Amino acid sequence: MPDIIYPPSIQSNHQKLQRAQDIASLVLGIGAGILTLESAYGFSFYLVGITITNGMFFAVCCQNQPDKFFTNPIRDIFFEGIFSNVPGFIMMWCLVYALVKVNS
Amino acid sequence: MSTPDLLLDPQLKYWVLLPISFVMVLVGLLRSNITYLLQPGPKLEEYKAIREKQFLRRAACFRQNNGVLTTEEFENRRQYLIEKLNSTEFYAKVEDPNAESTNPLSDPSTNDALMNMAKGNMMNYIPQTLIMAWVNYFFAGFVIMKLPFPLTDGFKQMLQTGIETPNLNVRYVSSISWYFVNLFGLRPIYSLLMGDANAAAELVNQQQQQQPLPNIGGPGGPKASKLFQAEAENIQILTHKSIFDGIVDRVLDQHA
Repeated sequence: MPDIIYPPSIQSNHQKLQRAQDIASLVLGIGAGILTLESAYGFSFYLVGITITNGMFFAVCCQNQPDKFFTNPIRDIFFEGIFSNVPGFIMMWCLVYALVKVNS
Repeated sequence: MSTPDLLLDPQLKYWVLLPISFVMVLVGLLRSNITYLLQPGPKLEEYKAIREKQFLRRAACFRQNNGVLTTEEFENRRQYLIEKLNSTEFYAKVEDPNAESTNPLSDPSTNDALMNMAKGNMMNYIPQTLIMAWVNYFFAGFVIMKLPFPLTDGFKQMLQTGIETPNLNVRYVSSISWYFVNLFGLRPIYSLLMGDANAAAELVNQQQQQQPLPNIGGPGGPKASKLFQAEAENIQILTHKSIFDGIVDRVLDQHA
């Protein structure tokens, strides 16, 4: 028996994940800026942070059963959003870094 | 870093960085509202054209969901659909097979579609160009910030426009680079502000949405007769496997 999939529901789940990742990337950017992290430290901070966020989405929002909500859960949750959210992170990082580092 | 840091005036941040972001966010929101207003309402189509599209859709739905029918029902529907798809009953207009294909540019409906596309593109490009010109003109000629990550020298030309210091580290950039960072990075802000991720993605990606119904007889679309024939062939070769096959055994198994 093939699973019966209703595409709008999948889409709505994707939007919720996207929203979580949006907020996470902005907040991580602010965090990296406040800590005045530079170059590779900032990017690894982002990677670790977004992966923790995804893990929490996996555990809390999907109740550890992501295949109920996504067609390809591991890829959709952990890998798809990482690169599309980098620009938002960089923007907040640059902004807060510039604001915080007054005597540079 | 071995070289000493440049001393940047902290006032630069409040009078350059924040205003640019602020303006870009506001312009983005304004743009999304204007695009919404400019969207043409649904047009009144001829009933035959609608019927043609919906019949084709019905055939496609049948093809995808045939499992829910019993064999008898499936055969009935299949015969009916194949017969109708091969006849001209549901065509919007019966075309003369040896008529020459008309020039798509002279067709009024094509013109409308082109006009809408042009409007959409204008709404995308004019504000961006204006803001870029504004940033370039208004905030030209000084370093506004230090990026938190190093870049290669290839970016120097682009990110340090208006700064005549050849040996300056690429991490010190002028206002135009803040404009670019904003251009790519504002999507999450828009989507949080508007509460609609799709509209926000559209603002940044500048992509057109797909049409829900198959584009029959529209500009560049395939001929209806071709689509109907293809659908008929698809239905012809369909293998049917009903979900009701052996359902008694399965239910008994499950509840045994």
